[in-house]
Amino acid sequence: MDERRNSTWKERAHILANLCVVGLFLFPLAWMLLGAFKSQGDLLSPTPVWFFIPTLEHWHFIFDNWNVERHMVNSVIVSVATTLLTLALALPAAYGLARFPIAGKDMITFEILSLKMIPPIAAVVPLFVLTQKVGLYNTLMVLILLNTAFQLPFAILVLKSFVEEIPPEIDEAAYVDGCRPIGVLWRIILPLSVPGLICCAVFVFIFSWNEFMIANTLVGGDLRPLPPIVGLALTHRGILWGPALALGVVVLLPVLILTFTLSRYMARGMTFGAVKG
Amino acid sequence: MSIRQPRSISARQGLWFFLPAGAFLTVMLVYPLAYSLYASFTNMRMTSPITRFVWLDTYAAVLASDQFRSSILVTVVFLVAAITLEFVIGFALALSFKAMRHTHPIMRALLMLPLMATPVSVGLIWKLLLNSDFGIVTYAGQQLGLGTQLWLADPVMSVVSIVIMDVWQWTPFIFLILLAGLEGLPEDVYEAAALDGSRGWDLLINVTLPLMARIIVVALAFRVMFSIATFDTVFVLTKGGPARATDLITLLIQREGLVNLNVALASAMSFIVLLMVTAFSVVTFRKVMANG
Repeated sequence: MDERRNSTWKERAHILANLCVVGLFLFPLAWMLLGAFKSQGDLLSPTPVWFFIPTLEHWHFIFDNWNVERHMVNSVIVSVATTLLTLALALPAAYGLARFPIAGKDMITFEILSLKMIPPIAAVVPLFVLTQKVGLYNTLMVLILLNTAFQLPFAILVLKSFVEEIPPEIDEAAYVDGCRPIGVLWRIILPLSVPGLICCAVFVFIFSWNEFMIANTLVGGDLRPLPPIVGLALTHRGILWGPALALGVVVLLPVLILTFTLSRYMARGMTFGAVKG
Repeated sequence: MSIRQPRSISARQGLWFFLPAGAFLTVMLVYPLAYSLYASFTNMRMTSPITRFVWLDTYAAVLASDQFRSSILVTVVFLVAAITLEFVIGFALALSFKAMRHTHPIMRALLMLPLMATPVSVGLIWKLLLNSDFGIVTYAGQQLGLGTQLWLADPVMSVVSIVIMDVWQWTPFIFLILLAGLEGLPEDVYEAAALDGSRGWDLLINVTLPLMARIIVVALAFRVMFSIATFDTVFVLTKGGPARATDLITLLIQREGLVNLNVALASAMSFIVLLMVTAFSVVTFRKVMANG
């Protein structure tokens, strides 16, 4: 009995400690959110201001002066198109790698993984030169194509791990019924890998929404998505803190909502399917 | 174990399914990297129309450059400090979560937020928190009697700052992977260990750690690779300053390639870093993924 009471006390202590840690991790996000509604004076006060009358001045400022709607539309177009294109290319590839006796399959898988390990900046410098040569420089298309290229290795590996869990007997039954491989992909693999597709879609959408380096380098002016605009707010004649924070919140909010609502699908994606979550 | 496969399934059909993705990656990533490799053997600059082959001269220039060496040093210090802290905190937190009888999906979902948060916003948040005039962390330091810390203006403190930011952002990553690992451990091993009377540290070192070894290696290996690529957050928080104290290798490559437009130099730097990453990943991943 004593042992048992002891363990519930211990458990309560763990719950309390963990709640504190979660609070600590969330505080920076909450502080930014509050900051976006503080007046300039409250925001720059040397002693933190906890209670204040919320103001929308920074929000009016960014929508009036920084053309935020336009950049938001760019971000949505790029992220949605990237997600669709990535899934369309990744699922057949994952199916091919998971189900067919391709020679050097493990080698190919390893090569795909190593593409993901390359720091993006290594590819961005030559792309800066090459996209200007082929006329893709400063188009939304280049962002879609490159984000897809950067996310594709991840998507193939994750989807491959999901496809491998579908029992091959189902495929075989379909073959016996006269299905061809393309039919198996469409009628069996596709519907059965929906959780994997959701997992990939969330990650790919968020990563391409968050992407800063390519967007900051390869497009300019009205075509920029949101993240480079945040960068702009920081260096443009010192920092306009209020508007910068409001903009930071605009970028962040969709990501936080998606992550929070779909987190149960995402655990597997963390390690490219290497660890089953 | 062999799965009986009908005649109609052949490797060639599988390749057709892989082909679109493979071709796409070749054109969009492999070709640019090959071009970059070529550029690294030349003196290519976007400001000069004449490009000629210089063999290894660019590499020699990179290896002799103080900037490159100091950036590598900063990157390694940042990487080791951040990943060590992330592992210790993440593992402790995972053990603590495991000790709660009920899993709390909401708490887990909340801890995922720093991880997915837009990096430029993360940089902005920490620029606000660590500001020496009105940052709340600076204020907390004053209240605790530590004086006014110049988090972003002092060379040493600025490195501490980027480490803190990275720990905040990435500890949840290690935490989530290790927690998934802990939850997959067989219960009976623990029952047996409890019968043998091992508990506490004993249990952790002799039972949990060996069982978790593979997952720990996976988590750390991913972290090493991702942290070498760290760019956006630090670019916003310190831009490599003050006085290049936080000038990670990615920031140096970005400046050489995209601001100074010295494509050859930036390419050579990229390839030296790529060589290091490849060497690292071949050693760890081949093993881990093969067992996987």
